[in-house]
Amino acid sequence: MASFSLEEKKKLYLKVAGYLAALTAIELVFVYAPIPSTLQTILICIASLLKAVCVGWWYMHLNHETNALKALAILPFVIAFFYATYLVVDSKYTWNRAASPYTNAPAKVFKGGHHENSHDEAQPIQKEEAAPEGEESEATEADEWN
Amino acid sequence: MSGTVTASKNPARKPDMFNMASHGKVGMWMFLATDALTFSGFLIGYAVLRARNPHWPDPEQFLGVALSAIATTILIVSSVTMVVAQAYGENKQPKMMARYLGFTILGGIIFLGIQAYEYSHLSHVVGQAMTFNDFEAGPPQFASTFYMVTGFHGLHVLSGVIYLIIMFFRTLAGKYDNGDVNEIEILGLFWHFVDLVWILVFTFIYLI
Repeated sequence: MASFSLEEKKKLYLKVAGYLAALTAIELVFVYAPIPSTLQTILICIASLLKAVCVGWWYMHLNHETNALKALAILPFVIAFFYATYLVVDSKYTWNRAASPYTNAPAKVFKGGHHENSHDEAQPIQKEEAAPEGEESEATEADEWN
Repeated sequence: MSGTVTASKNPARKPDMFNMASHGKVGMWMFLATDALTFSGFLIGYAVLRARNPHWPDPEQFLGVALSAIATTILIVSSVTMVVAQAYGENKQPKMMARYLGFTILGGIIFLGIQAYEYSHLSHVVGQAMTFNDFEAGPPQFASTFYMVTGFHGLHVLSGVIYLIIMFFRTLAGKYDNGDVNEIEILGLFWHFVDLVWILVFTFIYLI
Protein backbone atom coordinates (compact mmCIF):
# COMPACT_ATOMS: atom_id res chain seq x y z
CA MET A 1 0.00 0.00 0.00
CA ALA A 2 2.82 2.34 0.80
CA SER A 3 4.12 1.85 -2.75
CA PHE A 4 1.04 3.58 -4.13
CA SER A 5 1.10 7.33 -4.58
CA LEU A 6 -1.27 9.57 -2.65
CA GLU A 7 -3.35 10.24 -5.76
CA GLU A 8 -3.65 6.53 -6.53
CA LYS A 9 -4.79 5.85 -2.98
CA LYS A 10 -7.38 8.64 -3.08
CA LYS A 11 -8.68 7.36 -6.41
CA LEU A 12 -9.05 3.84 -4.99
CA TYR A 13 -10.83 5.04 -1.83
CA LEU A 14 -13.26 7.18 -3.82
CA LYS A 15 -13.95 4.26 -6.15
CA VAL A 16 -14.79 2.05 -3.15
CA ALA A 17 -17.00 4.83 -1.75
CA GLY A 18 -18.84 4.84 -5.08
CA TYR A 19 -19.42 1.08 -4.78
CA LEU A 20 -20.74 1.54 -1.24
CA ALA A 21 -23.11 4.34 -2.26
CA ALA A 22 -24.35 2.28 -5.22
CA LEU A 23 -24.94 -0.77 -3.02
CA THR A 24 -26.89 1.38 -0.52
CA ALA A 25 -29.06 2.68 -3.36
CA ILE A 26 -29.60 -0.88 -4.61
CA GLU A 27 -30.65 -1.94 -1.10
CA LEU A 28 -33.29 0.80 -1.02
CA VAL A 29 -34.56 -0.28 -4.44
CA PHE A 30 -34.93 -3.85 -3.10
CA VAL A 31 -36.86 -2.55 -0.06
CA TYR A 32 -39.52 -0.83 -2.18
CA ALA A 33 -39.50 -3.23 -5.16
CA PRO A 34 -42.54 -5.53 -5.52
CA ILE A 35 -40.65 -8.81 -5.05
CA PRO A 36 -41.30 -11.78 -2.72
CA SER A 37 -40.16 -11.05 0.83
CA THR A 38 -37.79 -14.04 1.04
CA LEU A 39 -36.02 -13.03 -2.15
CA GLN A 40 -35.98 -9.42 -0.94
CA THR A 41 -34.34 -10.44 2.35
CA ILE A 42 -31.70 -12.54 0.59
CA LEU A 43 -30.84 -9.77 -1.89
CA ILE A 44 -30.61 -7.10 0.82
CA CYS A 45 -28.39 -9.36 2.96
CA ILE A 46 -26.05 -10.02 0.00
CA ALA A 47 -25.78 -6.27 -0.75
CA SER A 48 -25.12 -5.55 2.92
CA LEU A 49 -22.42 -8.21 3.22
CA LEU A 50 -20.73 -6.91 0.07
CA LYS A 51 -20.62 -3.45 1.67
CA ALA A 52 -19.16 -4.83 4.88
CA VAL A 53 -16.50 -6.73 2.91
CA CYS A 54 -15.61 -3.57 0.94
CA VAL A 55 -15.07 -1.60 4.16
CA GLY A 56 -13.03 -4.37 5.78
CA TRP A 57 -10.96 -5.22 2.72
CA TRP A 58 -9.99 -1.74 1.48
CA TYR A 59 -10.60 0.76 4.26
CA MET A 60 -9.37 -1.47 7.09
CA HIS A 61 -6.57 -2.70 4.78
CA LEU A 62 -7.26 -6.38 5.34
CA ASN A 63 -6.06 -6.95 1.75
CA HIS A 64 -2.51 -6.13 2.94
CA GLU A 65 -2.60 -8.12 6.18
CA THR A 66 -1.37 -11.60 6.93
CA ASN A 67 -3.70 -14.59 6.96
CA ALA A 68 -3.50 -14.70 10.77
CA LEU A 69 -4.88 -11.16 11.08
CA LYS A 70 -7.52 -11.88 8.44
CA ALA A 71 -8.61 -14.93 10.42
CA LEU A 72 -8.77 -12.84 13.61
CA ALA A 73 -11.07 -10.38 11.85
CA ILE A 74 -13.31 -12.95 10.18
CA LEU A 75 -13.66 -15.49 13.01
CA PRO A 76 -16.29 -13.58 15.07
CA PHE A 77 -18.57 -13.29 12.06
CA VAL A 78 -18.26 -17.02 11.30
CA ILE A 79 -19.10 -17.90 14.93
CA ALA A 80 -22.01 -15.46 14.93
CA PHE A 81 -23.36 -16.86 11.66
CA PHE A 82 -23.58 -20.43 12.98
CA TYR A 83 -24.92 -19.29 16.36
CA ALA A 84 -27.59 -17.13 14.70
CA THR A 85 -28.59 -19.90 12.31
CA TYR A 86 -29.02 -22.37 15.16
CA LEU A 87 -30.97 -20.00 17.42
CA VAL A 88 -33.28 -18.62 14.74
CA VAL A 89 -34.12 -22.09 13.41
CA ASP A 90 -34.59 -23.33 16.97
CA SER A 91 -36.90 -20.44 17.84
CA LYS A 92 -38.94 -20.93 14.68
CA TYR A 93 -39.73 -24.54 15.52
CA THR A 94 -40.42 -24.08 19.23
CA TRP A 95 -42.95 -21.28 19.03
CA ASN A 96 -45.50 -23.13 21.19
CA ARG A 97 -43.01 -23.74 23.94
CA ALA A 98 -43.65 -22.01 27.28
CA ALA A 99 -41.62 -18.85 27.78
CA SER A 100 -39.56 -20.41 30.51
CA PRO A 101 -39.24 -24.09 31.34
CA TYR A 102 -38.19 -23.15 34.86
CA THR A 103 -41.10 -20.94 35.98
CA ASN A 104 -43.87 -22.50 33.87
CA ALA A 105 -44.84 -18.94 32.92
CA PRO A 106 -46.99 -18.66 29.80
CA ALA A 107 -45.46 -17.22 26.66
CA LYS A 108 -46.75 -13.73 25.89
CA VAL A 109 -47.91 -13.15 22.35
CA PHE A 110 -48.82 -9.84 20.79
CA LYS A 111 -52.09 -10.11 18.91
CA GLY A 112 -53.04 -6.97 17.03
CA GLY A 113 -53.49 -4.20 19.60
CA HIS A 114 -53.26 -5.86 22.96
CA HIS A 115 -51.14 -8.41 24.73
CA GLU A 116 -52.51 -11.83 25.47
CA ASN A 117 -51.14 -14.83 27.23
CA SER A 118 -50.79 -17.92 25.14
CA HIS A 119 -52.65 -19.84 27.86
CA ASP A 120 -55.94 -18.63 29.30
CA GLU A 121 -54.44 -17.80 32.64
CA ALA A 122 -51.04 -18.02 34.14
CA GLN A 123 -50.72 -21.13 36.21
CA PRO A 124 -49.10 -20.58 39.60
CA ILE A 125 -46.15 -22.77 40.34
CA GLN A 126 -47.20 -25.66 42.53
CA LYS A 127 -44.75 -27.73 44.41
CA GLU A 128 -45.15 -31.40 43.69
CA GLU A 129 -45.55 -33.65 46.66
CA ALA A 130 -42.59 -35.86 47.21
CA ALA A 131 -43.12 -39.24 45.62
CA PRO A 132 -42.94 -42.23 47.90
CA GLU A 133 -39.68 -44.08 47.85
CA GLY A 134 -39.31 -46.43 44.95
CA GLU A 135 -41.81 -44.53 42.76
CA GLU A 136 -40.60 -42.06 40.21
CA SER A 137 -42.37 -38.77 39.55
CA GLU A 138 -44.54 -38.83 36.45
CA ALA A 139 -43.23 -35.48 35.33
CA THR A 140 -40.42 -35.94 32.91
CA GLU A 141 -37.94 -33.53 31.49
CA ALA A 142 -39.92 -33.51 28.26
CA ASP A 143 -43.03 -32.33 30.09
CA GLU A 144 -41.17 -29.42 31.55
CA TRP A 145 -40.25 -28.18 28.09
CA ASN A 146 -43.74 -28.57 26.59
CA MET B 1 0.59 -1.12 4.88
CA SER B 2 1.54 -2.94 8.02
CA GLY B 3 4.94 -3.89 6.67
CA THR B 4 5.97 -0.26 6.19
CA VAL B 5 4.72 2.64 8.26
CA THR B 6 3.04 0.59 10.95
CA ALA B 7 5.79 -1.93 11.58
CA SER B 8 7.15 -2.28 15.08
CA LYS B 9 9.77 0.29 16.05
CA ASN B 10 11.84 -2.43 17.67
CA PRO B 11 14.57 -3.37 15.15
CA ALA B 12 15.35 -6.58 17.04
CA ARG B 13 11.85 -7.92 16.55
CA LYS B 14 11.62 -10.82 14.13
CA PRO B 15 8.82 -11.11 11.54
CA ASP B 16 5.84 -12.82 13.13
CA MET B 17 2.42 -14.11 12.16
CA PHE B 18 1.09 -10.55 12.04
CA ASN B 19 3.85 -9.35 9.70
CA MET B 20 5.34 -7.14 12.41
CA ALA B 21 2.16 -5.14 12.84
CA SER B 22 2.44 -2.97 15.94
CA HIS B 23 1.17 -4.35 19.20
CA GLY B 24 -1.37 -1.54 19.35
CA LYS B 25 -2.78 -2.54 16.00
CA VAL B 26 -3.04 -6.24 16.87
CA GLY B 27 -4.61 -5.23 20.19
CA MET B 28 -7.19 -3.10 18.41
CA TRP B 29 -8.03 -5.99 16.10
CA MET B 30 -8.54 -8.24 19.12
CA PHE B 31 -10.78 -5.63 20.74
CA LEU B 32 -12.77 -5.31 17.53
CA ALA B 33 -13.18 -9.09 17.33
CA THR B 34 -14.71 -9.16 20.83
CA ASP B 35 -16.80 -6.09 20.09
CA ALA B 36 -18.09 -7.79 16.94
CA LEU B 37 -19.23 -10.70 19.10
CA THR B 38 -21.08 -8.28 21.41
CA PHE B 39 -22.90 -6.73 18.46
CA SER B 40 -23.58 -10.22 17.14
CA GLY B 41 -25.20 -11.11 20.46
CA PHE B 42 -27.53 -8.12 20.23
CA LEU B 43 -28.43 -8.76 16.60
CA ILE B 44 -28.99 -12.47 17.20
CA GLY B 45 -31.21 -11.65 20.19
CA TYR B 46 -33.16 -9.32 17.92
CA ALA B 47 -33.45 -12.01 15.24
CA VAL B 48 -34.68 -14.62 17.72
CA LEU B 49 -37.30 -12.30 19.24
CA ARG B 50 -38.46 -11.38 15.78
CA ALA B 51 -38.58 -14.97 14.54
CA ARG B 52 -40.63 -16.00 17.58
CA ASN B 53 -43.19 -13.25 17.16
CA PRO B 54 -45.54 -13.60 14.18
CA HIS B 55 -46.94 -10.11 14.83
CA TRP B 56 -43.61 -8.30 14.47
CA PRO B 57 -44.30 -5.02 12.64
CA ASP B 58 -42.73 -4.03 9.34
CA PRO B 59 -39.86 -1.66 10.33
CA GLU B 60 -40.34 0.28 7.12
CA GLN B 61 -43.74 1.49 8.40
CA PHE B 62 -42.47 2.87 11.69
CA LEU B 63 -38.79 3.74 11.28
CA GLY B 64 -37.36 6.47 9.10
CA VAL B 65 -35.64 4.44 6.42
CA ALA B 66 -34.86 7.43 4.18
CA LEU B 67 -33.32 9.43 7.02
CA SER B 68 -31.28 6.45 8.15
CA ALA B 69 -30.09 5.90 4.58
CA ILE B 70 -28.78 9.49 4.65
CA ALA B 71 -27.09 8.79 8.00
CA THR B 72 -25.54 5.64 6.48
CA THR B 73 -24.18 7.64 3.56
CA ILE B 74 -22.71 10.23 5.93
CA LEU B 75 -20.99 7.51 7.95
CA ILE B 76 -19.59 5.95 4.76
CA VAL B 77 -18.31 9.36 3.63
CA SER B 78 -16.68 9.85 7.04
CA SER B 79 -14.91 6.51 6.54
CA VAL B 80 -13.56 7.83 3.24
CA THR B 81 -12.28 11.03 4.88
CA MET B 82 -10.69 8.93 7.64
CA VAL B 83 -8.76 6.74 5.23
CA VAL B 84 -7.74 9.78 3.14
CA ALA B 85 -6.50 11.48 6.34
CA GLN B 86 -4.31 8.47 7.00
CA ALA B 87 -2.98 8.57 3.44
CA TYR B 88 -2.02 12.24 3.88
CA GLY B 89 -0.30 11.36 7.15
CA GLU B 90 1.77 8.67 5.46
CA ASN B 91 2.67 11.26 2.83
CA LYS B 92 3.94 13.59 5.61
CA GLN B 93 1.24 16.20 5.09
CA PRO B 94 -0.03 16.70 8.67
CA LYS B 95 -2.09 19.79 7.89
CA MET B 96 -4.13 17.95 5.27
CA MET B 97 -4.41 15.00 7.65
CA ALA B 98 -5.83 17.30 10.35
CA ARG B 99 -8.27 18.77 7.84
CA TYR B 100 -9.62 15.36 6.85
CA LEU B 101 -9.76 14.27 10.50
CA GLY B 102 -11.91 17.37 11.03
CA PHE B 103 -14.25 16.26 8.22
CA THR B 104 -14.48 12.83 9.85
CA ILE B 105 -15.38 14.40 13.21
CA LEU B 106 -18.04 16.47 11.46
CA GLY B 107 -19.50 13.33 9.85
CA GLY B 108 -19.66 11.60 13.23
CA ILE B 109 -21.38 14.58 14.87
CA ILE B 110 -23.95 14.84 12.05
CA PHE B 111 -24.66 11.11 12.38
CA LEU B 112 -25.23 11.51 16.13
CA GLY B 113 -27.48 14.52 15.49
CA ILE B 114 -29.61 12.49 13.07
CA GLN B 115 -29.86 9.69 15.60
CA ALA B 116 -30.90 12.10 18.38
CA TYR B 117 -33.53 13.62 16.09
CA GLU B 118 -34.84 10.16 15.19
CA TYR B 119 -35.09 9.09 18.85
CA SER B 120 -36.89 12.32 19.73
CA HIS B 121 -39.30 11.88 16.82
CA LEU B 122 -40.04 8.18 17.43
CA SER B 123 -40.83 8.70 21.09
CA HIS B 124 -43.48 11.33 20.30
CA VAL B 125 -45.44 9.95 17.32
CA VAL B 126 -49.12 9.91 18.25
CA GLY B 127 -50.43 6.36 18.39
CA GLN B 128 -47.05 4.86 17.49
CA ALA B 129 -44.78 6.21 20.23
CA MET B 130 -41.73 4.08 20.90
CA THR B 131 -40.01 4.19 24.26
CA PHE B 132 -37.34 1.86 25.54
CA ASN B 133 -39.85 -0.55 27.09
CA ASP B 134 -43.08 0.15 25.24
CA PHE B 135 -44.46 0.49 21.75
CA GLU B 136 -48.04 1.66 21.23
CA ALA B 137 -48.52 -0.04 17.87
CA GLY B 138 -46.87 -3.41 18.40
CA PRO B 139 -44.83 -5.67 20.63
CA PRO B 140 -42.62 -3.76 23.10
CA GLN B 141 -39.63 -5.89 22.08
CA PHE B 142 -39.65 -4.07 18.74
CA ALA B 143 -38.87 -0.80 20.52
CA SER B 144 -36.50 -2.29 23.10
CA THR B 145 -34.33 -4.06 20.57
CA PHE B 146 -34.29 -1.03 18.30
CA TYR B 147 -33.07 1.31 21.05
CA MET B 148 -30.68 -1.29 22.45
CA VAL B 149 -28.87 -2.00 19.18
CA THR B 150 -28.85 1.51 17.71
CA GLY B 151 -28.08 3.05 21.12
CA PHE B 152 -25.10 0.74 21.65
CA HIS B 153 -23.85 1.65 18.20
CA GLY B 154 -24.46 5.34 18.93
CA LEU B 155 -22.26 5.07 22.01
CA HIS B 156 -19.53 3.65 19.76
CA VAL B 157 -19.89 6.62 17.42
CA LEU B 158 -19.71 9.00 20.38
CA SER B 159 -16.57 7.23 21.66
CA GLY B 160 -15.12 7.40 18.16
CA VAL B 161 -15.80 11.14 17.89
CA ILE B 162 -14.07 11.76 21.26
CA TYR B 163 -11.15 9.55 20.13
CA LEU B 164 -11.01 11.48 16.83
CA ILE B 165 -10.99 14.86 18.60
CA ILE B 166 -8.07 13.78 20.80
CA MET B 167 -6.08 12.58 17.78
CA PHE B 168 -7.01 15.75 15.87
CA PHE B 169 -5.38 17.91 18.54
CA ARG B 170 -2.36 15.59 18.71
CA THR B 171 -2.00 16.03 14.94
CA LEU B 172 -2.16 19.81 15.28
CA ALA B 173 0.50 19.55 18.00
CA GLY B 174 2.83 17.93 15.45
CA LYS B 175 2.95 14.40 16.88
CA TYR B 176 2.68 12.79 13.44
CA ASP B 177 4.80 15.14 11.36
CA ASN B 178 7.38 12.39 10.76
CA GLY B 179 4.95 10.20 8.78
CA ASP B 180 4.62 7.53 11.46
CA VAL B 181 0.83 7.30 11.54
CA ASN B 182 0.47 3.99 13.34
CA GLU B 183 -1.78 5.59 15.98
CA ILE B 184 -3.95 7.14 13.27
CA GLU B 185 -4.25 3.77 11.58
CA ILE B 186 -5.44 2.24 14.87
CA LEU B 187 -8.01 5.03 15.22
CA GLY B 188 -9.03 4.36 11.61
CA LEU B 189 -9.62 0.68 12.36
CA PHE B 190 -12.05 1.62 15.13
CA TRP B 191 -13.87 4.17 12.98
CA HIS B 192 -14.20 1.83 10.00
CA PHE B 193 -15.48 -0.89 12.33
CA VAL B 194 -18.20 1.49 13.56
CA ASP B 195 -19.11 2.10 9.90
CA LEU B 196 -19.06 -1.62 9.08
CA VAL B 197 -21.32 -2.47 12.03
CA TRP B 198 -23.77 0.28 11.08
CA ILE B 199 -24.06 -1.20 7.58
CA LEU B 200 -25.25 -4.46 9.18
CA VAL B 201 -27.45 -2.74 11.79
CA PHE B 202 -29.10 -0.63 9.09
CA THR B 203 -29.86 -3.74 7.08
CA PHE B 204 -31.21 -5.92 9.88
CA ILE B 205 -33.09 -3.28 11.90
CA TYR B 206 -34.36 -0.93 9.20
CA LEU B 207 -34.52 -2.72 5.87
CA ILE B 208 -35.47 -6.35 6.47
